[in-house]
Amino acid sequence: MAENNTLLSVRNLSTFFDTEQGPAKAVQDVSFDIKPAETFALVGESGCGKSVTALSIMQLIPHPQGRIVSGKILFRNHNILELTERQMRVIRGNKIAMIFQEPMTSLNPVFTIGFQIAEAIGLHQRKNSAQAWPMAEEMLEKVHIPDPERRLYEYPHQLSGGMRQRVMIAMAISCKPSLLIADEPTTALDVTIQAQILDLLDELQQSEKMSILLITHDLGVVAQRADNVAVMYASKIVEQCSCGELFNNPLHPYTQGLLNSRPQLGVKQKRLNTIAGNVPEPLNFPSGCKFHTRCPIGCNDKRCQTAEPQLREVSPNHFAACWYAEGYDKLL
Amino acid sequence: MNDNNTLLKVENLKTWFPIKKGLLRKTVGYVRAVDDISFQIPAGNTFGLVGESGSGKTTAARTIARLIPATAGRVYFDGKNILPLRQSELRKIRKDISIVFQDPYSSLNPRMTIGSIIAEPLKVHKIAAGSELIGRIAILLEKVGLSASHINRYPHEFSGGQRQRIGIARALALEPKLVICDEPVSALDVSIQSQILNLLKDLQEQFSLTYLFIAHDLSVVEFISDIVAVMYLGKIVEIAQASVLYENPLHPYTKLLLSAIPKPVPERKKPSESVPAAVSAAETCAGCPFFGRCPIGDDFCSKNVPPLEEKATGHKTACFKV
Repeated sequence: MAENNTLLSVRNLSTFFDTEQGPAKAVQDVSFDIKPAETFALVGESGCGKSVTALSIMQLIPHPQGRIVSGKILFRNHNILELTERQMRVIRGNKIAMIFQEPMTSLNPVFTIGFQIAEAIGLHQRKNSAQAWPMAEEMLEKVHIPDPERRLYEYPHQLSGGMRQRVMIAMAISCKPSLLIADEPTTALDVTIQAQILDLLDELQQSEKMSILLITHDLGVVAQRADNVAVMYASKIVEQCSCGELFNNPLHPYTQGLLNSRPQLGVKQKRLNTIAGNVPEPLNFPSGCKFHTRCPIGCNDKRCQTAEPQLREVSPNHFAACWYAEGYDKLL
Repeated sequence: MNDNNTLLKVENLKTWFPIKKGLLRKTVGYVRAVDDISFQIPAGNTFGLVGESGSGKTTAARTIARLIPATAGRVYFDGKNILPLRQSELRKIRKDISIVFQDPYSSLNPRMTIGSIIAEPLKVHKIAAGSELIGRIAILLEKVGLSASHINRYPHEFSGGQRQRIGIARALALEPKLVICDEPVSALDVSIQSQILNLLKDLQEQFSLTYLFIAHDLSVVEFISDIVAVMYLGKIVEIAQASVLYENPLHPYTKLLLSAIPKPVPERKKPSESVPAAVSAAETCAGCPFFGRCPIGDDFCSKNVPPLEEKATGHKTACFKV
């Protein structure tokens, strides 16, 4: 899959955390590619490893308890896992930027907005503050913050949640990154504000030609904003394909379950479809297919209980990790 | 709606918080968190209260449960106004109103076992003791889909969805008539949300419960509710039967909310009709609270407050343009 026009290629990434009960396998054998100017979505529930994947790319995994055990992360064909911390600093924040879920906790409450954006610009682009401040103002204008000149001198607590997320985005794109990692960027926001922020990301993607790695649990957001999708479950990618394909032809029972269990707007339902059971914890994943305990076929199937299916190409460019990805219907 | 069947009736309820400034902490204004809302819930129904953060839905619910003092208004529970009641009289009512909270991680005491968490309301109201108490807890745990063997475990041993089940068991311990569910599923994973929603529906049927269900997720509210009210900056702007509201929303704010939900249909959304940002409850203008964000508001709207009026049978909305 490693073509020349890939911006970021993650190959067989595994990240473990050491705990008293042994290593917690947060991410195992994850591979995907992001092309320039595309939006790649990583979907999954809490604890499935999607954020750890993002932090691994940024090399922000807390040390020493967390470690990347194997794999490669090729950014423009260079393995960034081999870089020294000094070299990584040139890439982090500059070529690959990240925005987080909680805009409240990711801004420093004791500095003004302007100071914080100018600091990022000064650090990465070697500008002094006289040069950086006008650029910070320009960035605020770019993310459509009204009255940017005045906002520069305000503190984070004076801004609403949506505004704060705009500031985070301004800071992230101030160095014109080619990849923006957005980790649940709208989860803490109201629906109407969510729509605004997603529109803003779309607009910036067009004008700056950057790729976005969108991490979310909301399939609605994925449907409307992503080009390609990978669904993660219990540390692994279980299905990967184009966005249209995922919604029209989901192959993995977990994806199907997720799509069916949401209450649908405008449809009167007596009961909701559910996925039985709970999300497994990284310290005691079930044997075989990790989804078999919750799966309508896997729970009774010997092979699912003992052997773990690998991600394979079921139809062109549609990957799924399920023994029954082809003949699921016939067996039911 | 006939009055005999009404379990909860809220009339002109207001909860204002003073804004204090200066050395002498003089009151300079009020945040009108809940500003003159009225509605009623027939017994056995689910009343959904929807709105964005800061719209006052949680404050309204807490005022009804007498956890926050009301500024004005009346709350009739079972035909009796509970706002003027003294603490001692309130205790009897407290048995009939319980709450399920949003965050199952912070609403369970980490140092208490599941058994003692659920036993607490039963002990406080002197309903059961000894082996009868244990028996009741076991039944409750099984009703919410857990097992009686969990009784001596601690909250940290459970996942988010299981904790929310424990919260529900605690709320049901006193066999309440009204259960206030304050965003009971918004902290849970998608696959767990549907389990909890189904459970709430099953329990409602089994114990003929009445729910006041608060959420910001319109699709969740549609699934569970019979009647839905949309709140905006402390006021109810639209109220109707769930099916009517979702099929034919009248208020521009309801329309805005419905259009902003990302639908799981794979099509790249064009940068949508720009949605104006929210304003805070402290800085409302003289007219319609929604005026600043309304696509159809005019000069008249900016000066006059639209009353909540019945536009069709059982369908009320507060908008001049409908």
